Amino acid sequence: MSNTKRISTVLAAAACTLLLVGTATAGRGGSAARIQNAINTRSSDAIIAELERAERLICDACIAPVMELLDDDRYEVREAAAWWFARRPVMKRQLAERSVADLAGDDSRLARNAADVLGTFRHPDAIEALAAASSRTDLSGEARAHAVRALGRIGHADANGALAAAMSDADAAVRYEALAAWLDIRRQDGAAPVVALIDDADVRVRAKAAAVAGELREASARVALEAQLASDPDPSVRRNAAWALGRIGDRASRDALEAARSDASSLVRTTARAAISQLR
Amino acid sequence: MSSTKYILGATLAAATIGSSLVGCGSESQGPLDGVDSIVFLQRPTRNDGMGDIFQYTSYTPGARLVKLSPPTADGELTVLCCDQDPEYADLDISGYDLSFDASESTGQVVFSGRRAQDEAFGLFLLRLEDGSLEQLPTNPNRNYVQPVFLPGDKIFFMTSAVVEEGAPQHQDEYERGVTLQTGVINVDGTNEVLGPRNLSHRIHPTVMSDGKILLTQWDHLGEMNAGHLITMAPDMTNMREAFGKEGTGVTNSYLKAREIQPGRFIAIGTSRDRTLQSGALLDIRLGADDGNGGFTRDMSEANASYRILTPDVPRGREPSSMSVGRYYDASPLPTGRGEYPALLVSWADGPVESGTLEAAGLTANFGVYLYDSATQSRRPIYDDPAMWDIFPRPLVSRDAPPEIDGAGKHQFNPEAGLIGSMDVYRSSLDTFAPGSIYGVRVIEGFSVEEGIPDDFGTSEHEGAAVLGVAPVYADGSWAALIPANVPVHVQPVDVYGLSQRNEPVWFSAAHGESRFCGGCHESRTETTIIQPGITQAVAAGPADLLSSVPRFSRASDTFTRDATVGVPWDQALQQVFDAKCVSCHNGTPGAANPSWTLTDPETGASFTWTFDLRGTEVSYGIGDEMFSGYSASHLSLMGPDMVDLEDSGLVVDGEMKIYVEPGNARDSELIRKLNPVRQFPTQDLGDRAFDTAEFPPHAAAVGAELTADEYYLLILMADNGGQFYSRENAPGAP
Repeated sequence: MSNTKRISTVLAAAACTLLLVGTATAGRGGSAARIQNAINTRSSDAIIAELERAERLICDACIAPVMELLDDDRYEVREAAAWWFARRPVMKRQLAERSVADLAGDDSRLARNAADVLGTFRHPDAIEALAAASSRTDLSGEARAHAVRALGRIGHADANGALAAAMSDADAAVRYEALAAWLDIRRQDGAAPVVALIDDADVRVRAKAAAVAGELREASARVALEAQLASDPDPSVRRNAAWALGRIGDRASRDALEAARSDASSLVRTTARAAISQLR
Repeated sequence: MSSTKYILGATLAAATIGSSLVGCGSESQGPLDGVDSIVFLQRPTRNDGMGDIFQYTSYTPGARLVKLSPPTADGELTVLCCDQDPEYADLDISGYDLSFDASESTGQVVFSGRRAQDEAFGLFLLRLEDGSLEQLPTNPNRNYVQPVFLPGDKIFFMTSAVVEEGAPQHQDEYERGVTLQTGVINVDGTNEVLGPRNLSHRIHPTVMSDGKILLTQWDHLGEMNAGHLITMAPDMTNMREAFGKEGTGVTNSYLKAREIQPGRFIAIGTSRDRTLQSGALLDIRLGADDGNGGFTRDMSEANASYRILTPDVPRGREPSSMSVGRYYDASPLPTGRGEYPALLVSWADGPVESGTLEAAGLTANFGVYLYDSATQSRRPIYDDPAMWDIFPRPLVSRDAPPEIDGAGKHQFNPEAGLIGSMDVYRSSLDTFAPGSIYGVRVIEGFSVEEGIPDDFGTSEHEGAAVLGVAPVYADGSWAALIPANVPVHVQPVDVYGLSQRNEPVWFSAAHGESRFCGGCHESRTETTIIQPGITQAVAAGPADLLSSVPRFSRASDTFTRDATVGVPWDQALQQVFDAKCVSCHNGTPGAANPSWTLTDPETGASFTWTFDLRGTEVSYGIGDEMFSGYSASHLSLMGPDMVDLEDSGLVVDGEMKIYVEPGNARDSELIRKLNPVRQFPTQDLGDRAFDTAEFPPHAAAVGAELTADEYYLLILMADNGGQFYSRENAPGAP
């Protein structure tokens, strides 16, 4: 075949093996107009759907509008736009370089968005830049939190040091994201850095610390969790502590869990009862 | 507690209601006879976060479970949950189920809820007797949604928690959400068990009258990308396809199925996205009329049929019309099981489509209606315009299905799954010549959660790790031990290692589960008696396909026939190209390196590519839009996606060939050109897969013969899907 022809003609000649009839395909039917229309609606669901449909579309006219979406005020839209560029490795590399530069700059909003891009790209080459940004107190807490979140999305153990450091951040949102990211690290081994946050001043951080320690069965967290179960004012925190103690499974927690069976909160009682059944 | 009611005004639907659907104040309520109350869920209206049928994390506080007694426009609305407990003040509820004995004053409700302080949806129990609440002890880091009661005081649910300790949950590289998988927990909160995984989401389980579970499984393997109905045992074993493939389907996805008669279901049919998880009502029968009030005779996917109960409702993602709208869900009624049933439904009028609603500053307004499928008319029951009134259910007790056993256990290795077939030649998909299948290749699937940068290459296929090939015995049987809880798909292969058929569905086996099929996608209309113990494969002992090797160690150390697991393009294939191919196929235009040009007819911009098997990183595209970034060899062999080029409206000039057809080495131009050699049981360079007169072995002809291992590598690359990335070269691999 050497003559000029529309792609559809080529398609007709190409072997197409949909092995079963009735299949539906992903990433088909996209266009620049559809993306622009979705952007015009402001619906994040519509925007994401159209970006997915244009997954591999060769679409010069799409570049500018999708590039703008990287600065959208909604995280899910920025993530989808970054994913769209991740399908285009040449552009992805350019964006990654730009994002690293933005992380090093002094604009917190740009740094936040850059972190989201790098998190979506999932390449461990970005760990160093993200780690640096996560500790920069001249950036907003939000930007630092997104840098930490991106480290979790990359999920590589090389980020553990930065995540442990972020658990001492003055901003509770950063500490919370560090806990969540700690759990996202592939083959994560234990949760020792998390233990210190079990009596954090922030209720969400305390609840998350208990949950992370429980999921990773961090035995060194037992005493702190028992204290948390007995006296934390927030029922969600006590509930997570009970659940974590069940996961850890140390019989020494029995008394604390027995006491929690009559906790004032319905959120806690069943969890304490079930946790007792898990003790070794 | 009574609250303000919002009764629909006169609607076209109400005006056309049939006489059997009598409104309030009548002595007979027709299909609602015997139903003193209905329960439904009220969620604050929302648009975003609900467009894709798999989304489950949308949180807006203010949801409540309510009871309407009687279920008429002038009935009394009572809040069941959760005004009674201030700890639940900011609750959102995404789904619920009534216990089998639920009635006006007894029984339980299990619901998935999230409070503002929580980061995920958990499971809660509400006792109808006294309104007391308790939370079940689920993992607070993970979401637990869509619970349903099982007989035996258990609850089946969907969750983002991971069955495989220490492994990340699968994240579909296309949809990207953390996938939902199956789980079971006792009503008292003990013994949470998670099921073996699919590579993509599983959603919306329902309990069948025979005790099995029916749910929606997202099948995403290569070009396959749709939500089909499957069944499984309540212990999450024995997964089997039920509806949506094999030509039975009518749209992209089927969800929220509810059994109306044995083997007969009402489900929502819709596009995957932009429809707020709503669509048309479908009446699906998994088999033929059994003459006993059900549709269970010859029940199989091949025999399944459907009827569209709402023909005007779009089954795609286009905006629905005024007075047509879309249905969020439907529930059968105790007396409404005729050919054209009456249903309790949740429906919203107008353009139920994410973008249209958002652009207009509107939200979908789902209300509760009685739908008469014979006249295709609706009777309004309740609608609060500030709320989505969804999942209406008659508050009546129902028969609990029997408690049934799951798959049998095997005795070989309690940690591994045992898979196999009685006779691989029994297939509804293809005709295999006797003796033509040497073995069955088992391929593990994974996705970007293992450190892949959101793209596996120019292929649509996700991560692949070849666990090995289990030999087929003289009686056609094969058996293999595989890692438990890992999604796999299988390919029967010939002695050349070429796949004869690519089974396009992921399945998995639990610890100790024995998953035996009659054949290779055998006829679903035949009776299959599974007695794997009598097969030669089991008698000889199943092939151990890395069943005890940890996930992150299931990777290639070398790239020989038996040691290759993943096929990292740059590490495995490029060595072959560099040593045997690039002296000729090096991007220099000519007979050995054909060229093609893409042109944008609107701008005149063009791009020319010349065949090149070097490892140089290259790109292709038009204007600023540059693709690939992978190697020249990857682009040359895998090519641009033809459908995407068509969508782009580009013109191609020159010889553009698809050298590798992902998932199909046998029909790939590259493999035919090379004419690979025999692999099994022993490698033989003197025996070729194809007629050498028609396909003269190219490498041998040019004096650059490949080794048998190299041929096999190329076959695996093509049969796996042509990915650039694998576990071995994942940039983020630990």
